[in-house]
Amino acid sequence: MKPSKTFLILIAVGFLIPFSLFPHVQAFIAVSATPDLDTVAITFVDFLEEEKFEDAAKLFNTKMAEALPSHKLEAKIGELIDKVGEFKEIVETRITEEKGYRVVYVTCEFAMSTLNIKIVFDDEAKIAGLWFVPVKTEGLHGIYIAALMATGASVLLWGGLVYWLSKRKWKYLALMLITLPFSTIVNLLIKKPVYELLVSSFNVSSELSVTMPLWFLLLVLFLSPITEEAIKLFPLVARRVRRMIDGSSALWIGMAFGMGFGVGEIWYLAWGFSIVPKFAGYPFYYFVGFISERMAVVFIHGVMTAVAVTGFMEGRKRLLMGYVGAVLLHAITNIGAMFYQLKFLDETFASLYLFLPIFVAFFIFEHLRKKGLTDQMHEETVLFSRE
Amino acid sequence: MNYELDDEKLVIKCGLLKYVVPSSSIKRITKRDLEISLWSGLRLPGLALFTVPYLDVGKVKMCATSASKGIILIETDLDLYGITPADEDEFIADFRSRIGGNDDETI
Repeated sequence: MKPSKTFLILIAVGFLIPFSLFPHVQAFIAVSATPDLDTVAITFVDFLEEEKFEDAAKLFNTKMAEALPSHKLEAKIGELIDKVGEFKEIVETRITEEKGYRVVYVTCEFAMSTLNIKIVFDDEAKIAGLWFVPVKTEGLHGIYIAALMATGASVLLWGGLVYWLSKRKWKYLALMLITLPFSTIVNLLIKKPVYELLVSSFNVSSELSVTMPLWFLLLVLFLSPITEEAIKLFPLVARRVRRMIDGSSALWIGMAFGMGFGVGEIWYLAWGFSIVPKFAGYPFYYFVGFISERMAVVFIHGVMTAVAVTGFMEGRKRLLMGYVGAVLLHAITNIGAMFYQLKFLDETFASLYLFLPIFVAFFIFEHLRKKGLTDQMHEETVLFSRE
Repeated sequence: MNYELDDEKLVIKCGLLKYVVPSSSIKRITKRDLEISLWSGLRLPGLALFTVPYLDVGKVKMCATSASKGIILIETDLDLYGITPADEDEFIADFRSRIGGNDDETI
């Protein structure tokens, strides 16, 4: 029995109705049928990295393949590498729609810069356009906003603590300004040249690794503590500063010098991050770890210097002992970061490790406060006594 | 905060917190500021409860509306108690009338 025309028409209409009444259903089906553009874009970039230019060119549509055949593509990529250095890694991908075309931005890190590879797709998911565009950093670099936040939080929290516990003396906060530039000075003028000298003298790689001799790793571990703790005490050279130091002020003056150095270090490190291409497009909230770590380190820097300055109260010999104590505390603080660089610890454990020096620093801080109290006991009124 | 005094004892209360201090165990009562430690017990602005460590006097059983300023410190054989009665003069006068003792003296 043949189906009647009416029946066939009804079936056809039955199929067509959903598609005609619900265009988004058609769109959904069409999109599902196209390959994942992200994947195509990443595959394309992988081909470029592996210098498989013919495979890469196969992803072009007809017009694009005519305009940019594989040998021209190879030449273009060669020119690009000359300008921005070797390809390092894909940082992220982003899909947008521009003038009716679907566009995938593949953000790539090169040795000397970070670029967006802009790949335009046609309706058949073939590459119809290709551009290499610099990554736009909108406004201020994220790390500088993070540095500003770390500075504000440190000054409010630790500066506030020093101000409150020192019986509201502004002069201690003002002393922080003296050591602000010291981190940059010691890093650029002392640590960097000394490290380079060590590396070239002992013919080792400048990148830390477990294959380095232990004595060299110890040398690197103590380089920062020895130089930084020394420069933080540099203001003591001034007689006027030395005259300010007594039993009740030594702790606060030491805290101020150390915290000033710590705040300066925030900005030195922020500058260091800002010139790394990888971090160019990162917003400030990518640096939350930096903010919290720096806040803790500002306090620890303060305590380390306070140890040496309170030692100074008891003579030069004690100053030396205080300095050695500060160096050791500094080295203990840096162990987590060093183990992270040596890949002994991952990022989480390296961050958690910081709790140990913070805890130790708090103990030392309270001990120094207690020690300083004997000279400034509070007035006491006896209201009742059995004797 | 509630401080109740009778001939035999001083009862210091705040909610569930209650210290009973036998009057005979009280050696000295002083008024002073205390040096707060960063390792603190329950200390909020306007409230200090339970045992709070201080840098200058050690651990104090607090039941006071201030953590460091103008604390009445009650010294017994075993413990130190910190209180802040609303009317200090009346509190001390009442205590003296029941127990006796020396006059004010500032050190």
